Amino acid sequence: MVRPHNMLTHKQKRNLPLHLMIIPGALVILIFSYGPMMGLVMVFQKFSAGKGFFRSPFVGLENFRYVFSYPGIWQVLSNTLLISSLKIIGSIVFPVLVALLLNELSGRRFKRVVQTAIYFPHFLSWIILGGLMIDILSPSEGLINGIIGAVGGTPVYFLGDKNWFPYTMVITELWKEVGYGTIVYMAALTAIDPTLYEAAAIDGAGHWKQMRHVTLPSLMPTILLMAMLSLGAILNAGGTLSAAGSSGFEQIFNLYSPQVYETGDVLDTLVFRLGLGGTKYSVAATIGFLKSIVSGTMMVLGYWIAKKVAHYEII
Amino acid sequence: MKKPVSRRIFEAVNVILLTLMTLCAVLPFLNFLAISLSESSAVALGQVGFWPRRVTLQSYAFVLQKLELAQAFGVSVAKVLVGVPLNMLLTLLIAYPLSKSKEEFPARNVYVWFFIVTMIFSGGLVPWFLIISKLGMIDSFWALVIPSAVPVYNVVILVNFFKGIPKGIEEAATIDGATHWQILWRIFVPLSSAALASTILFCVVNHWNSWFEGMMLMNRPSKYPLQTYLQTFVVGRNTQLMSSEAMRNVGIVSERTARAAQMFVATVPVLMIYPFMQKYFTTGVTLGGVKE
Amino acid sequence: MKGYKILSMILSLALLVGVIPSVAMAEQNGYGIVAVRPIPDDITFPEGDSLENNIWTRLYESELGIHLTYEWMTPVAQYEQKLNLSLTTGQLPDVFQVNAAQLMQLVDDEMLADLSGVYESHASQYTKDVLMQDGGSALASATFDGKLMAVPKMSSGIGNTNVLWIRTDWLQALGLEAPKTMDDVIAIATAFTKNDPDGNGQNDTYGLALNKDLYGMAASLEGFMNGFSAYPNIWVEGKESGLENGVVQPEVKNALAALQALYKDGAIDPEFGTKDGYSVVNGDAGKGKVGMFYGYFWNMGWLTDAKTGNENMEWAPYALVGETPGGALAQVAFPVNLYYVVSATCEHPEAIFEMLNLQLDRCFGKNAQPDIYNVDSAGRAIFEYPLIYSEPPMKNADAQKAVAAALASGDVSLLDAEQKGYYNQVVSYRSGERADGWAQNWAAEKMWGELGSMAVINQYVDGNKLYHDRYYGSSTQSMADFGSILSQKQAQVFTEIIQGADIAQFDQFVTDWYDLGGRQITDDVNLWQSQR
Repeated sequence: MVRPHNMLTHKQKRNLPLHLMIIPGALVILIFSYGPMMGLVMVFQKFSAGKGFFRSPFVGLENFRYVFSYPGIWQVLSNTLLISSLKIIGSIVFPVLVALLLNELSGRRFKRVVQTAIYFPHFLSWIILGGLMIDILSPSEGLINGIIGAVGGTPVYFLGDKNWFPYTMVITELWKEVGYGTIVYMAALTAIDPTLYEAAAIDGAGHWKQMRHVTLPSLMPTILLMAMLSLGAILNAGGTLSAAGSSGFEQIFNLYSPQVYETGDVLDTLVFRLGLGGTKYSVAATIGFLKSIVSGTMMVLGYWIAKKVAHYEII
Repeated sequence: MKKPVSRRIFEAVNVILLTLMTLCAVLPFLNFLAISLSESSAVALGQVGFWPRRVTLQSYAFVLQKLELAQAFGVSVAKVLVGVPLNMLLTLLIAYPLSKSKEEFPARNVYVWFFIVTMIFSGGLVPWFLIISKLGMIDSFWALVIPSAVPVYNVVILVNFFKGIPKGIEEAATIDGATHWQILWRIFVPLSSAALASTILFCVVNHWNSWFEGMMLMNRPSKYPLQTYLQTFVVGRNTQLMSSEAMRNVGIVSERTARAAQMFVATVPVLMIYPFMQKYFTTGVTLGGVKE
Repeated sequence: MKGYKILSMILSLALLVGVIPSVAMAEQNGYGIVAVRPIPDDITFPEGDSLENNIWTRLYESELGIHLTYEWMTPVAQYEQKLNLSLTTGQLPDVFQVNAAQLMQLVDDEMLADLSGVYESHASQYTKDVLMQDGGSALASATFDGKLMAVPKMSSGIGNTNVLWIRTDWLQALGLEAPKTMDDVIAIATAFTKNDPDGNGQNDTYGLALNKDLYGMAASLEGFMNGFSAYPNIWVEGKESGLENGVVQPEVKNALAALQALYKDGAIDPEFGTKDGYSVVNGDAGKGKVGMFYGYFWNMGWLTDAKTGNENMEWAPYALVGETPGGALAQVAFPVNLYYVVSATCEHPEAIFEMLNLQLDRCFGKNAQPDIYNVDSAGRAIFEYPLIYSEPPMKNADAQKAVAAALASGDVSLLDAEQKGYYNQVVSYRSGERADGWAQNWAAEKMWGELGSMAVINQYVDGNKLYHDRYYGSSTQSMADFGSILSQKQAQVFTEIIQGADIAQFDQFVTDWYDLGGRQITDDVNLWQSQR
């Protein structure tokens, strides 16, 4: 039997440049993403700055015990889940609706104007939008309360009232991201085969029926997909796009204050305060680690379902 | 063909709804812009809505004469000019091999997982800081671009786009003796302008908007990028961004008008590139591939 | 030609290489110190100066031969975080500032130099006097196992007691008397809220100002709490035995209930949770939105702009009042919460005392030139520039008495340079002339005059109206571990109660406080007490 010996080496040879291409980026990831993972050893240590990783004493599962007995932890977890799930639901439902509405527009020019306007807030940081929000949401001088006052309502302290704070986070996040969130659905809408509409029209389906029987089903895989992808981000207090790195941390960190900790504190902000504010490095790392485990499991689960249900492959 | 009444009502309602959404997105900025362009006394009296009262550019003049702001602006521009090309180069170099099938490039799946895992797990802040510090990059401009040089999320988007490029083109080029390198730059890149435009925009926005690295890795406020500067001096402490002495000298500027002006200055670059980029994504971006 | 050029280049390079070290040697009789530091808020410099090159760094260089460089500097709000992060590298700057918890941790990690020896050999007599002026408790707090591991940043404990600042033109406008009891304070706060004290016909004023951290320099709660015999966050004698933390005592609950009632009445700004002390005083009080707050004796310094803009605005400091007439005890926290430390690897640990000697000497000693080294004629806070800064704990109390005596007698011969400066400001203000710095002179009158805030504090001292922190040992491991969690919890619960949450939450807070590490801290404090 003749082994295709030459073929194999040829293929390897041909693939060598592919490896070379990946190596620079892989090195960056190895150093700056995998390198720090070595530091996760501190979740089993009582890490102190002076002793470092090599001399800090090992304490077994003490940090995990501390985290689970930390009195605020379940409140923080439930805050995170509440904010996350509202953001995720909102950032799926509203973009789909808006995409459908945009799709029904006949004037191209108007459509373009609407898209340009509603995508825009996505591109600004929470630093800038934080400054904007603090201003327009202020109970005494802000635009929103000015309007509420003008129609006879009592001013609402959106950022300082702990009953309002989580919803303020959800609403402002949606304000920022709903427009841009339509982008994946717009792509899915343009990909729909026009003959499907023609066929439906011939069958006598009006606009409504076409929307129900052609458009929505065509969007379903993408909707499911976004929902699945969001699972991995359920502990980030962000919306569906938090997989893209826009976690709720930046938003909440820049807008919260001690008076709303009870309802506004989420895992990432707690990790930051414990780790850098209070030098409980190991406890902070432990929460981060647990969070990664849960997110990872949810993400794998999400992708697995996505693959089974929507026949989707992430990469 | 005459549209039925119900359809016309729907279209009208639709236009109204979308107009409202557009206003919702735009009006807060208009309000803020009007504040930055008004005299502080008019702002304090609550006279400023969407149109500036007693228009003045003093707030901008005041903000722009601040050396720190100009420096921070410069750092951010440099970060974008260096960081984005680096992001794009590495993203392309990773995305091309990963867009090959497992049969063509057996190591593909190993690499894919190698990158994907980093989207889930992170080592946390302290070890990350230690690595950068051990590499001697603290307080170096490179610390702001190299650790974040590979945006994995963009790699995913680009891999999926590359996968959609018809195999035939590549095969024909291979038969003509083209190398992988040539196929990437002469065929894939020109065919992906829309996807590239949106990834470039992601990268620009990421670089422009990131602030945390600056705060942790830079040793002097003079080296802070713009968002870090704004976070520490404007948002972080809601006291004030100027000494009261300076404030007295320019009576028609207040903390509030100056803050609004700073924010707008920081938004200008995004406003500038936005119109050029937005035509590429009004048609949408496909996330991943759904196999039919 | 080309060869010549290259040759000359090589020559000049060689020259440069040869010359630079010799120049460096010539001026380097001294040595370099690498430090890190926070950047104070609102710091200003004369043209061309900066934190890295100013009158103090030049003085270090010329007087001590110390070439001071900063590895990093960051706005004061982030200093702790940045320091915590940079400590993890294990490489410490030579000299830097830490809080009590960080000190504890660094001592534990054996990263600091033992300063006992250099204290004896290099601290000047005046420096030793200042460090011992509080009876030695500050130094004791920096001593671990008999070794001096840090230099406490000395400041005046009584200078950090609260006085009650009230808008007197509002009192007059509404025909109100100065408060004698907490009921009066509450009545004034309510009147300032509801009776339109500024007479503009609008309901746009608040009675009592608070800051988001609840405690601190201005718009703080200590004075209000003290009025209810509550002493939050210092250690008090327990009802039964031993020391207990003041914040978990039932008196605090009464004070919170009173604050809650005021809040409900609209007498407290609902946005207080986002404003720090500076923005409350300089902003809200300055704009005439609020007419009363508890704070430190120098708070009027933040209202000079407002005074310039509105000359009719008038404030006066009052002694704390209690639930019954006769006043209240003002709590005095242990005044040292910052320390200067030297890295174990630093070759010149004596530098810390050399710099401290110089600073105390130039700011407060016999050769003091406070107008150059403390606060300059333009009102710039020059004392923010040096790396190491301390002030004699009794300085301000002494100064007020001296200024008041001189104002009565007209004899200025007994005043030192700093006191003379205050005296001149008060005299200039009283002359009625609108000289430069008129508003600053007004603030000086409010501090140093016979009815000024320092006089109020001297009344506390002379009348035994002070409640001193009963604990002044070094920070314990438990404080390092749990302190920040406990204070976060406190800020959260107290803010919520003030804003209307069920007052019973206070009882839950007490339980949580003990469970979250407070019990451990209390045990450690009592251990210290029993060993004394």
